[in-house]
Amino acid sequence: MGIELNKQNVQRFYDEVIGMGDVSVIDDLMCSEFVHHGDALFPYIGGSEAIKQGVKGVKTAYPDGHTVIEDMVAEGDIVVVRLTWRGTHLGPFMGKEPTGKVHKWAGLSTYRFNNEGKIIERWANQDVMPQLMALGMIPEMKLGGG
Amino acid sequence: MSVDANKMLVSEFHQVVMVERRLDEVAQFMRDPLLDRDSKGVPEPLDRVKRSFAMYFSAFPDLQSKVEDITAEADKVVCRLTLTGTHQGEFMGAAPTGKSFSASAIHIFRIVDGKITERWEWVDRMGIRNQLGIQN
Repeated sequence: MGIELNKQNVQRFYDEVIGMGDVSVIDDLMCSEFVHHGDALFPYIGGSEAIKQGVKGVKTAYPDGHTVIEDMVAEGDIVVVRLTWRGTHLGPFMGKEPTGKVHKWAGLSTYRFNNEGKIIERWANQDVMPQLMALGMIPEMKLGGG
Repeated sequence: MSVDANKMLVSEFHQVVMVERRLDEVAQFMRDPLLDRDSKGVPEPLDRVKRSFAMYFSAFPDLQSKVEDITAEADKVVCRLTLTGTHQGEFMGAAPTGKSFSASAIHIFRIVDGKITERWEWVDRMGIRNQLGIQN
C-alpha cells in the first residue's frame, strides 16, 4: 500500500485491463463493490463484475483500444490520471455499427483506494462529445465555452 | 513553493474567483497568459479566461461550485468540483431554459513561482446540455 503502489496499480489497470483486455486483473486491483461515477455516456456502474462486462464491450467495439497515461497526480488515497484513449471502431458500440474509423478522446479520471490498497471508487470524466459526434449519436456542433 | 502552499493557492483561487466572482483578482492567481491545454495548448490571455468565467456566471446566475477534493503532487494541483446552477442566460449558443443542472468538473493546475501557469480543464458539458434539454 502507499501512493507509489496506488499509482502502479492504476497504470496496471490501463495497461493490462484496458490495453490488453485481461479483465481477470480487475480482481487484483478493484474491490467487488467498486463504484464508477461517470458522465453522460456511462453515468453509473456498480460492481467490478459490471466493469468487466463494460471493458469486454469496449474491446469488442475497439479491439486495439488503449490508453496513454499523460500525467498522474497522487496524494493520500487518491490517484488522478490525465489520459488519452484511442481505438479503431471495428465492432458494434452502443447500437452503432462499426465505422472503421479511429476514435480518440481525452479524459481525467480520479481513483480512490481503500485501506487494503484496492480501488473502491472512480470518477471518470471523459470528453465524450467528439466521440458521440464521430458515431453520429449527436449532431456535429462547434464545441466551446466549456 | 511547497505542495501545501500550492493547494492553498488553488483553494483561494476557487473561493475568490469561482465563489465570490471577483474576476478582477484573477491575475493574482494566474499568470498572463495562461497555458490552457484545452485551447490547443496556446497561451490564453487572462482576459479571455475571465470572459469564459463571466459567460458561466451570466448563463447560470445562481451557479454554485463545490470542491469535492483537492489532490496535489509536486507542481500539480487537481481540483474536483460539483457545479450546480439554473439556466437563466445564453449558454453555448442556447437560449435560457430555466432548467437546473448538477454536473462534475475537474481541473489540473500546474503552479510555478506561486501562480497557476498551466491548466487542463474538463467540464461535463454533455451532462449539462442533457439536463437542460439542449439538443444541438
